[in-house]
Amino acid sequence: MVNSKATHEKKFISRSAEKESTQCPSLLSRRQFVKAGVAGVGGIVIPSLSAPAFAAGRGGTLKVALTADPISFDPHLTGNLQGRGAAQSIHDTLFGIDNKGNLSPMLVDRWEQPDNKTYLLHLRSGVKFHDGTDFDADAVVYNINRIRNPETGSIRSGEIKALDRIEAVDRLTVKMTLKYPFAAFLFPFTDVSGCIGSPAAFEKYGKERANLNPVGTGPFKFAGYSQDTETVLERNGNYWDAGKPYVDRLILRPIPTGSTRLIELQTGGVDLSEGLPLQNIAALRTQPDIVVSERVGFRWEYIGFNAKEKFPGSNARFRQAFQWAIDREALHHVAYFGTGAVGYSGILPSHPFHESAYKPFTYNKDMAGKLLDESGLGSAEITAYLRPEPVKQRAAQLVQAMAADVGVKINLEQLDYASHRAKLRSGELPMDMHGWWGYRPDPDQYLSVLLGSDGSYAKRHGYNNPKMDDLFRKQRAETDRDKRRALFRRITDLMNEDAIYVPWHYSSDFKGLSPRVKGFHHAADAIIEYKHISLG
Amino acid sequence: MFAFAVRRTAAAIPVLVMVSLIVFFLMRLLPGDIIDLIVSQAQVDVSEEMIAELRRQYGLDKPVYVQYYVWVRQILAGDFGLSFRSHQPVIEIILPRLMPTFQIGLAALFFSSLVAIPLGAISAARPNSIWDRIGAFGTFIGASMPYFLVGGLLIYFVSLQLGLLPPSGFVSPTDDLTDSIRHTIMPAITLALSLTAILIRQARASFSDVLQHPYIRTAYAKGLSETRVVVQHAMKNALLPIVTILGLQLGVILSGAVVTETVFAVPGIGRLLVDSILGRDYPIVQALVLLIAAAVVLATLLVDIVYGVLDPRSSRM
Repeated sequence: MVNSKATHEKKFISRSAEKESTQCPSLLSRRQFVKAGVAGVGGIVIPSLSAPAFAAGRGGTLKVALTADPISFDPHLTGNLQGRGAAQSIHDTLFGIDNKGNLSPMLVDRWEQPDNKTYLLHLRSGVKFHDGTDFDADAVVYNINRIRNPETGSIRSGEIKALDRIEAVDRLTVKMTLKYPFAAFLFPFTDVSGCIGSPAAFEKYGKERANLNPVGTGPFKFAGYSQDTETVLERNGNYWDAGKPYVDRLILRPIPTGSTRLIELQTGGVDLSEGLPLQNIAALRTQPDIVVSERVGFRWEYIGFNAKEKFPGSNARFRQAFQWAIDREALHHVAYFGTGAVGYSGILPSHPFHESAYKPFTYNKDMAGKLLDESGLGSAEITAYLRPEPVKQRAAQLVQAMAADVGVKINLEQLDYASHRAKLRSGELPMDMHGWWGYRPDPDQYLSVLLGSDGSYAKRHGYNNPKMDDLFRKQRAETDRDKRRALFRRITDLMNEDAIYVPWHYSSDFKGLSPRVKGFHHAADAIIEYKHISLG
Repeated sequence: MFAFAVRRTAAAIPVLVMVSLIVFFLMRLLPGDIIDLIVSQAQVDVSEEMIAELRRQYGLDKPVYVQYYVWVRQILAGDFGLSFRSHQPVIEIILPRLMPTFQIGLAALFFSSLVAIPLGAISAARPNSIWDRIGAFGTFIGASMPYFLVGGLLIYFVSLQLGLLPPSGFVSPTDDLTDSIRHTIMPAITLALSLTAILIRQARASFSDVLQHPYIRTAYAKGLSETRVVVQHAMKNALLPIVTILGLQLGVILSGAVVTETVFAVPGIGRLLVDSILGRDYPIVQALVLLIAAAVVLATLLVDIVYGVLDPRSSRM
């Protein structure tokens, strides 16, 4: 929520003040601040907007502590958040996201939709790749086809599976034709799927060496990398967005331990840090030498059930009982130290479709007990497998105690990340405590995976509801935003009725900043847009 | 002698083959693989065809024994393959990681000897004195403090409160020696703490044993001071078992490195090994374990050959 060019001073402002906070319009572009419509979130420290006329200073080196190494800079093959962030600093994306959650221009200057299966993209002119070659329609077609080519092995191919044909109409116009109408189609192009690399460079380096030789049109050029040590990016002096970026050099250092990252920030070893330790947040907010930035709704926490015959989750009453049996407020305060927000739907608070007043359940043990009686299961027992995440382990123990209160025994078992994924893939998780990780700019992007009968999570959880499929078909074909919003509300209602996923929390992404960092904007997907940042 | 060396070298080969088999199949027995992890990062559905294509690209579609055969043939040609996670050659990833781990490990050995040997000697020479008690207390602390706690506390006090040393990272001594030393001190002390605990007890036992010998009494009888007796006469004999123990601490250093390198964000092999196991990066884990095994085998081999030279009886077996 820090989106000011001017961070000369900072002060505490309440959530309500933050909702009203005006933005610095000259800075708005991509992934812009989306008004988070959640009430009840505690005070957030953000830099004030005391000097709107602030002129961003040029130069300097911005040092950033990452939670993990980016590993690959090939935008179509990179996986983790750090890799996506670095790839997006080197490669511009086709689209950005504005402050209302709408698409905004980036490499695509303007676009039109002649019918619900066709898009015409008009590209920005005069843009050059770091290797001096021209950015044009052929380059876009090359990149999208690279993602679609099975030889590339890009996991992003799933994001654009609705695409039927792509062609260059003229030097700066691209035409995309879809197999079926899909309202959320363009949103993946705001992320790595929309990153355009130099075709000449891809050809020159081949698949194996492209990951460490990225050539894009972005604000920063790749200048050096040493795994688990640092990534160095240097300012692109010929960047099309005149004047930007402000800093000369970016140094990204992976520091796996949270407390170490924090002390690096406090001692000035880095200017910006990802992922602050949750237990320190409250204390840090009172410290003058650190700016804490919280973005609610980076993760969506739910309890997922497996509806296959052999699991207790096959009983709808049993699943519904959890809607009432868990004390979401207690989980919010104890497991999450009061950060993030309590949640009842799968629409994240950062998204314009989110309804903060939607609150269909309360903590009601009698109601839960009644539903359990109706389930006819008697004393039920279920196993939840946990990954090594301390916060989630704490939350799981609380859920375990709350379930025990209404007569359900939950066995908690620890697995490492890959083992947990293997269990999930095989559809053998009786109960999933891990929820959905990572904000996506359109809810279809993840809800279809979870709820659509051809979605991988839905299959693994044994979920299949034709009524749900019908709602998804409708919202995909719907171009009117308000009607889509209403359809998502119906999807939410049906999801909560079926209770395959019992939603309970929206967790936050945290960034820590030195007061000298200006122009930082906390994007909903947690990826930092370095081009707006300057050092005071 | 030559025949003995050849025989010993030949005996090392089955050991390495066994290690390669164990690490290869153990890694594949772990549930989940690189494809699961890649797919988990997609945040979107990945089609079955794409998953099959990825399996093919990573060579995981072939039967396990074929994968093993391919891997062994590669290694014999001097090629350890590409890392699953980063697609860089395995050797290019592992080599730069050796330096930080060795530098910090050696510094830890140095620190712990520096503290433990004198403290052990004083404790032995003056049993039940205040020094003996300090030694016992130090042992207790060192043995019971986990690395992440020591590391965290050091960073908090030394870097944050006192501002003396950088909290994390590593700088190569060839780039900047002073900075390299500054980055080595805290991880080395963290690692040294439990080593010191073991060494203090060992040194104390060793010194008290040596101090009982008649030649020590003779030295005292000559009128030498206690310091000269302990340092000049007892030290040499007492050090032998301590040095032996020191040599055996390699395992402690490597296992400790896993934690210290994570806490201090040091790009060493401990952190690489753990990240690669959790990331199911088979080529890296296999190569690292094989290299560590080869290093141990080589060291034993050298010791055996040196013994053979020193004591001809041992090479006649």
